[in-house]
Formats: sequence, structure tokens, C-alpha cells
Amino acid sequence: MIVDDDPSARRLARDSLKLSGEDWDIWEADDGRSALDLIRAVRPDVILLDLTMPEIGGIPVCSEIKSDPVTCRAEIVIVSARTERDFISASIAAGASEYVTKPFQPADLVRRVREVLNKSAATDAPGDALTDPSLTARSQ
Amino acid sequence: MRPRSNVRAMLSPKRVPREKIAAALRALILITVFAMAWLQPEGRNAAFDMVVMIGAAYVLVTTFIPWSRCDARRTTLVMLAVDVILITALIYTQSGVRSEYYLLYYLPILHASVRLNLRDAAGTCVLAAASYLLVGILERPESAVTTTVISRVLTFTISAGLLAGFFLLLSRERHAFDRLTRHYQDATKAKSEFLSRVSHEFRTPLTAIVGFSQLLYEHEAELDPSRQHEYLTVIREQSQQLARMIEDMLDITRMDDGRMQLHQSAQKLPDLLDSAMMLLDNPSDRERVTVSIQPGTPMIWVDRSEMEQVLSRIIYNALALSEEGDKVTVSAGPPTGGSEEVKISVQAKGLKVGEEDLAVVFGPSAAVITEQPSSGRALGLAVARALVELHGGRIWVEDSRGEGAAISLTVPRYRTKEGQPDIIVGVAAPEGAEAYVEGESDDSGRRSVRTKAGTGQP
Repeated sequence: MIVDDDPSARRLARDSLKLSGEDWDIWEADDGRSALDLIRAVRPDVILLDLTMPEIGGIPVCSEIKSDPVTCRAEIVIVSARTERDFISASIAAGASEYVTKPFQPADLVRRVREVLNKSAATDAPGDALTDPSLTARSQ
Repeated sequence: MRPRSNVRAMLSPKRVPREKIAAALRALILITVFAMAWLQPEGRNAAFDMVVMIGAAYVLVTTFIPWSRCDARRTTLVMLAVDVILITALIYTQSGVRSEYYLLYYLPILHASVRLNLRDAAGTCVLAAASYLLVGILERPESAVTTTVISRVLTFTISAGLLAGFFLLLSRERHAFDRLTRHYQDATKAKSEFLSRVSHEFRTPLTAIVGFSQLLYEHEAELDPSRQHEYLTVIREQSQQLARMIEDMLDITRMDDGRMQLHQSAQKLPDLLDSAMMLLDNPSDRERVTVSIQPGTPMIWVDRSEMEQVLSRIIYNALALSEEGDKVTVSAGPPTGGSEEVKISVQAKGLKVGEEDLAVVFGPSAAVITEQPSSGRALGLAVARALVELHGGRIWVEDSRGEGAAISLTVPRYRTKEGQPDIIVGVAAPEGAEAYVEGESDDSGRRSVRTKAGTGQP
């Protein structure tokens, strides 16, 4: 799931993931509120989240995802133009797994997403048959 | 980070409070004097011994007063008065006016000049001189004041005054330096905040440029031509955006430094608008713009190239903030009510006053750029605003019900000298009519303006 208010940034992330050769299901949201609704509905494995968005910023969205038992298993990768240390530490504190700064290399973004997916697969490999496979985006 | 924090540390080293230094020095000197007086065989008597003992005890007590917790000036004044009385007692009980202890009077005076102000220092000086004269009078009532006393009081007063003045100058200088340092630190901070925000803004177009060009480079074979074209379009648009932002930033820096010089001359609005439209990157955007200038609109007194930038930035933003396909109307008319300004409005149907970028630049918090440019567009609007203000005009957003909002600005009109009839321009004016007068050379119109408009600083 890609959450970013800038359409060209969403497009870039989507195409980067698509062209990586992986068969991921991808959803998009352009603000924090609709992202939260969509995340509850589709339960993605990984969320690429921008920090500076109108209305609800990325960090509150991140905290909310992590505090909701329905969505807390999703891994969050922050993709932001903010490079300040404060933003990075606040994101990690809010539960993000990775922090990618814009501009990024598409291959780098894909690599981070893969790493995060592998990590989450390793930690909860057994017993996640409970989740509905048709609603989850996962790596093959 | 490191060099900056070093500079900061260098500029404001942690100082030991002046009160503490003054109190410690005073205690040291007085205790030394009392000890010497005690050890000296000459001039000793019971009264003198008692004064020395009381003095030493008093100095010790006053040294440990918690200065930060009491009204510094009043306490210091009381202490200085007691100091003077004590020194006078010391002189009187030792050998009278001939005593060299009169030199001790310098201490309270210097103390006053370091810690208080010139008036208090002068007051202490007068008190000391009067006390010394009193000693002279008490000692020899018959001859009243001897030449020794007079000469000593005079030299003493003059030199004490000079010393006090010197210390006061020193402390005043340091205050000025502190103020300057603080000002410099604030300015540096504002500038670095601005830079960090701007560099953040630059990352948005850069992300698209770097990302899409990399995708094109790596996956050229897999991408069909239409997709490739799409990527190239994004790259082209975003690099234009980036170029514009860099231009804006340079403009802001120029205005901030006061290096911006306006070369004002009389300009015809339709010409200016034509040139402004040519600055729009996308030729198809020009078709969305309608220009409507009422007959009777006078020429305007502006810097041509800067005003072209202003108008093109505003039109560009009106286009970007309204729906694709919505018309953007630029209108102007003759000033009403004898006003010296011409109002130009750029109206777009989908434009809302609440738009984030507009709110940032024209909102109630007039502190423009360092506040928060929400996007690269806000930067451009901020430049437009600063330039309009440099011309002495205003820029604001108004809501025209149902028709979408309009960005309006005023610029000074051109007035011919000695009450000649106004020169008017307007689309309705006949082509090539005599009414068109070209602007004179800018000998009178050149002015250099320092502005803070670009920084949002007070």
C-alpha cells in the first residue's frame, strides 16, 4: 500500500514495485484518513508512508496503524523528503520499520520492501493462515 | 552541525556572573587591607583595632549574600554606603586625613560603576569625598579644610570619575556586542531553517526526476513507448519546476540581501501580460488565460522584468490550483476614487481561498517564507508577494462568490509630470492612438530598496 499526497510520487513507487518483477498487489491512498480506512479493509503487509501530508501527517497515521490490533502486523516503510534526525527517530518511535529518504533509487526502495517482508515472514511464519489470503498482499 | 555549534559556543561562552567576580575581588582586597592594617605597628589603637575587626566580619558576611535572590541595585547601594562609612571610620581611627587608606574609597566607586550605572557611581564618589572632608573637619575644626584634604579629594574624585567612566564604557560596549551577537544568531538560525525547508522542497521534484529516469534507464526494454513518453513528461515537468524553484530561491536571497534594484518605468499592462504569458512553460496553458483590461486603465510604473515574473508566477499558480480546463481571467481597470494604484486580478473558477499554498503565503501570518512553504508553489507566490511589496503595492486573495477566488494585486500607476493628461491604455483604446506614450528613461525611476519582505523577519 502506497500512501502519498503527491501523485507523481505514488506513481513512481507503484511502478518501481511493479517493475521489480515481484507480483505484489498494490493499493494507493492520497491522504492519511483514507489510508487508514483502506488499510483496515485490505490489510496490506507493507505500507509505504509519506510524512508530510495535509490533515493527518505520516507519524500519527503510523502510530494509529500500530495501535490498532487489526492493522498492527503491517510493516511500515516511511518514504519522506524530510531528512532531519527528529523525523527519523519520531517515525521509528511510532513503529516504522524502515526510513527511505526522497529522492530514492527505485531498486533501493524495492530492496527495502523485500527486506521488511522477509523479516515479517520470519517472525510470524507459522500460524498466519488465519488471515484471508485474498485480502493480503504478500511476496511470493 | 559541528562548526555551527562551535561558532555558537564561541559567541556566547558561559560567563561567571559579574556579581560574583565583583564580590570576590572586593572581599579579597578588603581582607588584605585589614590584615595589613592589623600587622602594621604604626597608628594602632583600640578604636582602630575594633573598626578593622568589625570591617573584616562585615566584608565576609556581605561576600556570601545570595545576590541572585535580592534586589541587586538597592542591596548594592546599601552595601556601598556601609563600605564608605567603614573606610571613613578606618581613616579617622588610624591617623586622620594623612592616612593612605583614603585610596580604599576607589573600591566602592568602581564597584558601583561595574554593577550599577553612572549616576550611582557618581553618587558613591560624592559620598566618599564628603566623608573624607568630614574627617578633615572633625580633626582640625580650627583650620577646617587643609590643602592636603582639598588636593586629595580633587585628585581622588577626578581619577575615580575617569575609572568609573572607563568601566561603564566597557560594560556598555559589551552589551552592544551581546545584542549584536544575539541578532546574528537569530539571523543565522532563520537562514538555516529557511535553507533546510527549501532543500526539503527541492527533494519533491528531484524524487520524480531521479526515480523516473532511473526506471527508464533500467527497464527501457520492458516499457512500452507510451509509458516511456509518460515518464519523460513527468521528468520534463518536474525539472522545469525545479528550475523555477531555484530561480525563486535566488530571487529571495537577492531581495533579502537588499541587492534587488528596481528599474521602474512606465509600462503598458497588455504588453506586460503578453510577456508574462510567454514565460509559462506549457504553451497550452496560455489558451486557458483570458485577458480583460478595461478602457481607461493607466500605464503602470513598474520594473518590467520583475513585474513579468510576478504576473507569470501568479497566473501559473492560478492555473495549477484550479481544475484542468477551467478558465483563468486576468482583469484590470482604471483606479477608482483618485487612487494612485492600478488593481490587477487573476481569477480562476476552481480557486479556493483556503488552498494550502495561498493560505501559507497570503494568510494571516504574514511571515512568509521562513514560516512554512507548503510546496514549491508557495515559494513562487512568496517571491511574487515580496516583489509586489517592493513596488509599494499589495497582494491578497479575495473570494468572489461562486466564481472562485482571485489573487489581486496593486501596482503604482504612471503619472506624467506637471499635470499632463493621464496616459491610458486599454484593449478598447484605438490601435496606435496618441494616448500611447512610451516610458521615459529610468533616470528618475531608479531606486534601490532594502527589504525584509523575503525573510519574514521582523
